[in-house]
Amino acid sequence: MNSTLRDRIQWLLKTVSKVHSLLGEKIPAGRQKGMITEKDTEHIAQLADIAIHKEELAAFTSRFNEILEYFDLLDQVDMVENAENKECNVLREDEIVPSLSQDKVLSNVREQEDGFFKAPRVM
Amino acid sequence: MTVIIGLEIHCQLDTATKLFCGCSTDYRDDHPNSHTCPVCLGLPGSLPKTNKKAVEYALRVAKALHCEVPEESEFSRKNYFYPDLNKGFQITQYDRPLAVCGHLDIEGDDGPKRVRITRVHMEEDPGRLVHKGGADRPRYTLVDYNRAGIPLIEIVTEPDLRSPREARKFLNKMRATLEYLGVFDSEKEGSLRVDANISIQGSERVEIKNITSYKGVEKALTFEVTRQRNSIRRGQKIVRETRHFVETRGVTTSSRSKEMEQDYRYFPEPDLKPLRVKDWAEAIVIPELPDARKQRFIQDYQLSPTHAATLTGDWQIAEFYETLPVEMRASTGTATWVADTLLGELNYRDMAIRHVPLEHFKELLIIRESGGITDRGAVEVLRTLLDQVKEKGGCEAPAECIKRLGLGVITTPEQGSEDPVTSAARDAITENPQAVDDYRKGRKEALNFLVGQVMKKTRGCAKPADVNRVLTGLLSGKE
Amino acid sequence: MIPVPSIEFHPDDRYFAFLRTVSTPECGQGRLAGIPVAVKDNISTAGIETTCASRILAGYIPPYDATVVEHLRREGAAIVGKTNMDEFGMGTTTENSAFGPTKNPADTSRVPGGSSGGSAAAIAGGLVPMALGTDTGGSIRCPAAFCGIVGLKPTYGRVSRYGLIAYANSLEQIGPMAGNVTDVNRLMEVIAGYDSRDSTSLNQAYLHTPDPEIRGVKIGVPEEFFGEGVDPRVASVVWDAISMLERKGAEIVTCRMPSMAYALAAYYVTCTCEASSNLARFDGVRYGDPADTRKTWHESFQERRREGFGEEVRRRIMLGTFALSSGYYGKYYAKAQAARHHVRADFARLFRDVDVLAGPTMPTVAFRFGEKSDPLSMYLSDILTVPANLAGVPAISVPCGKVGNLPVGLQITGRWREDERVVDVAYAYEQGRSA
Repeated sequence: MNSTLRDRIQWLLKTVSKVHSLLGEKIPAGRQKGMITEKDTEHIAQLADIAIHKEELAAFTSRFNEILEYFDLLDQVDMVENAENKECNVLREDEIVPSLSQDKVLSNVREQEDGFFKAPRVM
Repeated sequence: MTVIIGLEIHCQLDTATKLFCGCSTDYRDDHPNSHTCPVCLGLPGSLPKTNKKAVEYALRVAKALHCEVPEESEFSRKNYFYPDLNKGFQITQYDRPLAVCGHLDIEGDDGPKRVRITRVHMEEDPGRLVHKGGADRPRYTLVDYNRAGIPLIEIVTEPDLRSPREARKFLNKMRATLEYLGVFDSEKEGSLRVDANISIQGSERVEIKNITSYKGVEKALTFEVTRQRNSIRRGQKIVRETRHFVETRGVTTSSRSKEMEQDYRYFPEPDLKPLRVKDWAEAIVIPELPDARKQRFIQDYQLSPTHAATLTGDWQIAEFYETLPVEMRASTGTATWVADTLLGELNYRDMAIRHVPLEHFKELLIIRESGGITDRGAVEVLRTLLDQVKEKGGCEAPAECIKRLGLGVITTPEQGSEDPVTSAARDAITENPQAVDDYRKGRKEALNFLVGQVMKKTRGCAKPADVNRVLTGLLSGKE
Repeated sequence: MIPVPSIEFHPDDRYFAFLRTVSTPECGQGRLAGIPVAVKDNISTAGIETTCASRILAGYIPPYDATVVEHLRREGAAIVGKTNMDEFGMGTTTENSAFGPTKNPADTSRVPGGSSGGSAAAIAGGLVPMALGTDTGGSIRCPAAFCGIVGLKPTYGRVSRYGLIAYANSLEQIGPMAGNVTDVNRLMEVIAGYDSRDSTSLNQAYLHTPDPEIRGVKIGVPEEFFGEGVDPRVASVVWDAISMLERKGAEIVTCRMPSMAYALAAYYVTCTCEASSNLARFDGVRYGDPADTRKTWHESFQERRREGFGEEVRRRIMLGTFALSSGYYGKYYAKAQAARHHVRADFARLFRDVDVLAGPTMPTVAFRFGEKSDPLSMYLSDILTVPANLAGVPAISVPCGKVGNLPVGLQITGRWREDERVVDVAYAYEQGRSA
């Protein structure tokens, strides 16, 4: 192998990158600023409509805090005007495409009523 | 106490297919879940693709409402969990709507008024729910996704309306405008839904959700104004809340939902590209709108502003009016007849002009105009025909109806028999000796009574002048 | 009636690569006539259960084929089964499958990588010559690297996503995986192309014969691709591979990619936000286990999601829900999108001077089962693969040697829409190595 490249590798491997310094390491526990509490976790679960068991709360909360602290890396990102020339107006013509048959639509449910899907009561 | 009202109007756009898939929108008389596909069922892996016609229709509305169309707009996801949502989110527009800052001019409570439009955006209709097991204690819910994905536009006004009546007027004008644009069919059940924000100046704002009829809007707001005023008079504070309008009872009720805080977690829909439609909007040519047509009716047909407003306030009526022969359009009689009689009778029966076979009504109008039937006779024929339409979905030809009911104008006596007016006059005289007596004693109003009796007997087919002549003749001469 | 041709498929699946197989799949005429192709379980197959390796979708039989599956059938391929994966694609090891982990054929005490671990193991284990994977943040390239096969994440939009059960819509692509570059290219030819049903589809066909000529190709090597977390043994194998390309006539230059500092955070914010919304539809109304109508809607839904989703899926849904919640949008989602802009800008700047970028696909070799027990350290192992997803550019992983008995992947990243070029460089490397 080319010797300059070999030197380059050695140098690169020594480069401390902010991101990679975290690789494989434990994040210090406890996020001083804006830390998520177990109560917050419960609230988030509520918002996400996912039941969470009491005994799961502590573990979820500490994981969240580790991850959210990592997300704080985004604080350094400069906001930009959405200047990209993105593709726009991807549209289709107003032309009818045959629908699925009612049988096929209902093929994945065990219970139906007069062609309706069944769902729990709302309240 | 000034009333402050703002409206959010949701209208189904009258496209052939849904907003994000090719399923037909013509679902109303069909089986549940028979107008669905992986996209509008929200099946895993399906992707939306925007209907060009829906965008065009929405742009027509934006243009008619004098809105600004921003350089770029986009669809966002509104996340919430409800069984009528097929994907757990609704595709709508949030911080970058299709159009903003417009207005619609109406005839307000205190004269002409400009109501500001905050925004116009597109979104998909959710599915339809049927709650089983009674309204108070539903056991489960049935879901039909035929409606899911029907294109809606939401039109949001500034809080510029000052009374329930004004709100109703605004809504009527909006409906007319949308129908003139050819983007909306108000007759389709559930094609319009309104949320209203209402407050008494200085108090908290209350939102009334899900009003589904034009009349309902005025009723709900009137109820709410009274409720809020009474609360304030009693020294109570108005609570900021969401209330539901119970159409059957004409009241609003507090929706004591536990989800006090709604956090919709909007973000741009990653499966769709943004819209850049400013140039497109500028190129769109919109048809003549109600105000312009009204001016034209006044100018071309010399109609009164009131008649012109009524006749142009509904696109179908205006269209009907303009199928009449030109010379008839300029007749006050015709205008009155269409604007007052025809619309009144339709209203009374909860019918719309589209329900009536227009050729027949045109014929009736022409017979009336040419003197072949009296006004009263024409009204009776109209009622008969409308009742037939309502019952059977169709009606006989006006000429036949006139003949069958014997309502043709009586001009000459039939040969060999006494003419019906004279015969009716004789009967009236015989049956009402008191009136005859009064008349002879010089009380002239007694004659009017007798004329009325004769008119009744001839079912309005006689000309009042003839009746008068025959009666005075009989009363004075032959005795 | 002419009988429909079919093949027999009875694999000895000792790696648990497949969640289910089809014993006599139909096949036909075409570019893949009679070739057994495995399909990752998050790609809809009409009539074949499709679960994303999640309990919540157990029993779901799609009534339609994904566009790529239509393409496979049209070209005569035999769809032999659905491969295991991390639930909904959320993982880097395939340990997050609700139905048990897949083993790495190179060392069965180790993970195959993920989330397309089943597809990679099926190929590396010799069960199928090619398979479809999906790549949201490295899910094709990581298992390709760990199992010693080739995997391409196409330019965003070159392969239709219609029928791919979404995890993170703006990042993911279906892509080809195979034992060699030629087969990857062949499969890519069949699945790529415009699809009117996918609004993000590019109108660009993929018809290509790989060209092994590397002379004159300029290869950039960002320093950040060899940062501290990269196992030096892996780095060394990859540098050997890059040196080989240099010997064959490529020009190598080092460069910088500063946006790498926050690319991973941007990736995880974006994918969790999108996932929190995508995964809201599994309510048991239209498919899946029926909802419990004795409970209320919210009770039933909350329990279903608690029971039906694995821990990692629940974690990501909650993270995304939090990041999108009122007051945090600007801090997380908006910043992540700005970060994506900077990543794209970095790539655009680099690609003005070089034709492709090269580096390791993964910072390490395949992990032992259970090694990455805390989620953040698992996330961090995606650092080298996520930039291509954030920018939508193509990237391929090609085997470039081993550390001990464990394969190492060389990742070649190319310009937007230049999938052909990354295939060519990978092909040049593959040819050079076997020569």
